[in-house]
Amino acid sequence: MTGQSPRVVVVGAGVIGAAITFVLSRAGVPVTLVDRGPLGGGTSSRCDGNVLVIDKDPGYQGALAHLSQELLHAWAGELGEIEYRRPGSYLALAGDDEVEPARTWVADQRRGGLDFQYLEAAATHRAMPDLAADVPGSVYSPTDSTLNPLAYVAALVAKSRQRGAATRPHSPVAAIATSGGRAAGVQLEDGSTLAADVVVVAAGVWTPDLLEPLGVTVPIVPRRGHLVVTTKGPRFGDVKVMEFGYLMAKFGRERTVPADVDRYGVALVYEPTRAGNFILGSSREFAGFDTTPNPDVLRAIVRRALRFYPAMAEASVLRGFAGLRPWTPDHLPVVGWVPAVPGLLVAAGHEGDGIGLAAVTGQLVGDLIRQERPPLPMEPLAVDRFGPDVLQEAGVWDKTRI
Amino acid sequence: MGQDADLSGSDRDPVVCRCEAVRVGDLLGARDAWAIDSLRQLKLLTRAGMGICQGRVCGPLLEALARGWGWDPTGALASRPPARPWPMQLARGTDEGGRADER
Repeated sequence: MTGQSPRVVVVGAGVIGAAITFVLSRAGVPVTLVDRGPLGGGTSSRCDGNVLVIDKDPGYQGALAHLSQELLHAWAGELGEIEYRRPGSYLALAGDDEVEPARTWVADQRRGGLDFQYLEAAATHRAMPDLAADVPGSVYSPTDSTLNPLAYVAALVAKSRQRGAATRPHSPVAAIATSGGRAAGVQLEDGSTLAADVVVVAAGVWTPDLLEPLGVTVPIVPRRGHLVVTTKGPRFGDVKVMEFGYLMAKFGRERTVPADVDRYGVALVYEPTRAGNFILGSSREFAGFDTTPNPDVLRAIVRRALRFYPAMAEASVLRGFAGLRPWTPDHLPVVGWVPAVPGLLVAAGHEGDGIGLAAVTGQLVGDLIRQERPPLPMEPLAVDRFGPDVLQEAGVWDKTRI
Repeated sequence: MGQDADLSGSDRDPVVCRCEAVRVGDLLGARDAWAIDSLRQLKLLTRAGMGICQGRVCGPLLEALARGWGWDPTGALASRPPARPWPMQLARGTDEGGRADER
């Protein structure tokens, strides 16, 4: 592949695969995007549209997310109507015991170069007049943005096609083809082969199934999340609001909350949509690959929303559904070459941050393939960064799949 | 659709989904602009079938259009709970009201 652009096949047409294809096609790299189902039909169609730094650990994770925000901001004009906007986001505190951790969080993020602010009660209730009166404060992140994730994926794919990228929806991959130990393309279930110099596996929670036959283990496990969509009607502000305890739920830390809230990893997420509905989240469970909505979880999400927005009792739930976040043990995605199989790249494991981290992931993968220097060190994302103990534990959790 | 079922006004562009005000022209426009090839993706991008009736009224029409375009509509309009809009106040318990009640 020296001197000439390598042919690339990207497996998985969710937001990650779509962003990679967008970056590669823009650079003139011949690329084919393959999916077993429709384009953008998996996790990327069962999610909110958050593009956040507010919920990232200070340091590398925050820098990664912030870079992705800036890239997306630059892409947005080109992508057309994806309902992109940048209203900022807030973390509302549930009680006085969260004030000190929240102040520390803000200080850590500011040290990392991000413009976080701590808002006292008065400023909090000015910004979010519908919040329960006993909310003692909040954290504000001004660069946080939002979009329609379905339109985002569709626009990335449409722009890629205009630049000559090929798309193969409804084409399940049976196996990654190898030749002389290096990736040579993919075999489709219909018996045909797509030859390539580089294969990128961007298959989210389904990534381990594609890599296992090559003896490559990545600890990506489905972590189910439910979302609730309301009918059109009263709204409770135009900004995105989460609760500070969301961080605790995400990173698996201890919380003081009602039993069902704790059991299902429930934490408030409030996202108003352009269509006039609003979305409520969130939950986190290891429950295999089952996406059947659980009414108990939906109820717990609504109960948690009422704790922060008592007036939401007037609103009505239109539907609830569940999707599968590709979780990793250290909450960072897996993005990089597979050392044991030259020509094979992985870009997966973004947990609930796929929409937000798609732009930077596309950029990093594009840089790796074009042998350019990535804007961030990539060791923290390396495929082989997990020790045997971590792999074993993730393997046990994976057995809960249904 | 026969002559009698023509919902179009003077613009001859029939409404398919009344809840979200989506017309045939909107569906065709989205289908072609995004090169969509599945009813589920068309639904998600146009919101047809995602309004307050949750596709109970427009579902058969959407499926008929999809078949006409050579798509298999199976599962695209699968129902989601709850069966009808569910007032959030019904979720109220004794323990969401404030910090003092939390365990």
